[in-house]
Amino acid sequence: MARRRSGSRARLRELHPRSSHPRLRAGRRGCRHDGGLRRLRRSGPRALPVRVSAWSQEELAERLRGPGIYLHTGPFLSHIRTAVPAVAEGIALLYADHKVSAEEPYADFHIALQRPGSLRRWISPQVRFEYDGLLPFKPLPLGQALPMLEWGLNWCIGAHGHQFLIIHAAVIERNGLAAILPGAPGSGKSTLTACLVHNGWRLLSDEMALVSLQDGGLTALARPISLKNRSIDLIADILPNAALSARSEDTVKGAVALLKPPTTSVERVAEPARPAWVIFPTFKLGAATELACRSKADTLIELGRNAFNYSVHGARGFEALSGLVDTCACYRLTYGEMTEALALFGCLDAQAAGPVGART
Amino acid sequence: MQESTQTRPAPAGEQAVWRVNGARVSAWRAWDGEVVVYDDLSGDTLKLDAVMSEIFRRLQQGAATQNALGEHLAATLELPETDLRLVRLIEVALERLDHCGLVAAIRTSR
Repeated sequence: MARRRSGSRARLRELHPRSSHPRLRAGRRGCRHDGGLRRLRRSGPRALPVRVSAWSQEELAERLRGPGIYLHTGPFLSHIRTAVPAVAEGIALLYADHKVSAEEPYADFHIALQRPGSLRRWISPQVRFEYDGLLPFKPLPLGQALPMLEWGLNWCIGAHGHQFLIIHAAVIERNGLAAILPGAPGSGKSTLTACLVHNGWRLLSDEMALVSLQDGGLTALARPISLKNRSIDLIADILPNAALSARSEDTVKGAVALLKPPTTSVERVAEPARPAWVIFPTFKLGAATELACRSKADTLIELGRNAFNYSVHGARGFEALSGLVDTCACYRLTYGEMTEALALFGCLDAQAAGPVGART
Repeated sequence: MQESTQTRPAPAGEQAVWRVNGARVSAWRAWDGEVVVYDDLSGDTLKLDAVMSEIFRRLQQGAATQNALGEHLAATLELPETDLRLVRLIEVALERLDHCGLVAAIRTSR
């Protein structure tokens, strides 16, 4: 093991001669690879995490510009550095209730959002996403820095969080029972989720259902909800007191704004939930609200298509997915009116209090 | 390495005996007559149609000839065993299951 690590470091040094790679700086900065333990011994007990809102915006921005912050989002710990003011402002707004630390012995993801130093910065400024010192994506316009942080975090989890079966879906919970809402882009999944989590449901995630491979339970992330195009104004109208980030225009998904997750959802992020429903929502303007049963076999196939890492888990993934489908009532939801959809979810919840709830 | 015998004609008066290919199928589920199978070799997850599902479920209980499968499906679908459509449906279903490597013909019997 030691020889392999040493060889790996040697290769990294060839690729990063100026020691910019986090693994090469592990001893100095205390990341997970081997320096963390040494650092813990030297510095003694570390400070407990605090809410992001406990730091002033200036303090947060300064830490982000310097050594970085350690942001706790559910089971994942991200070390984030950036000198982009919009990202610091976005984190202060959207992650105000999340736990954050100034230092930790390790992080799951080492992330930086930086402006490239090329001449282009004077004409068309850009931002790039660094993961563990590497560049997995092409740079984006600077105005898209905050969505890039969210997309980058999604990528980090989807590409590395293989302790879970990860399905592209929103997840909400009430009375311990969760509804999984998979949906193609434009299906109205995030809009519906935003409304539901401000009407009595708890947000586990807007983008990713984290399914335990051991017991099929769902783990929460409680990260911001990504709203696109017309849904931004719609949510601003429906939820006038909700905290929304500034719009980022002309992204690959059109205009994007991020909605802060409700405080209670963030406070309860450590509480898992039992899956009870899989509902595929589709918004159709003017359509009557209709909830139709969907076959479990079709549901399994569709969930498999929507999973980030189903193929990684092989037969174990199949067992987890079929266990999930076994547990859940499976539906297809068409809605054209948000109030009707909200009422329908209220009925689901009421039904669960009876025979469905009894099975948990 | 897939064992494929569908194209190998059985001698006159003999019939292939079909079984589930246990080397590839270790996990499967059935809901409301629809079977979903995990293929260990390819990593694919396959949803079978109604006839294939019924054949697969029957073969899970034990190997069977095409005639035995015909009897089983005729009883299930309430069709006469001699219905040519049923015979053809079973042939096509076995061919497709064999093509996917989910079933195989193991031997012949009189």
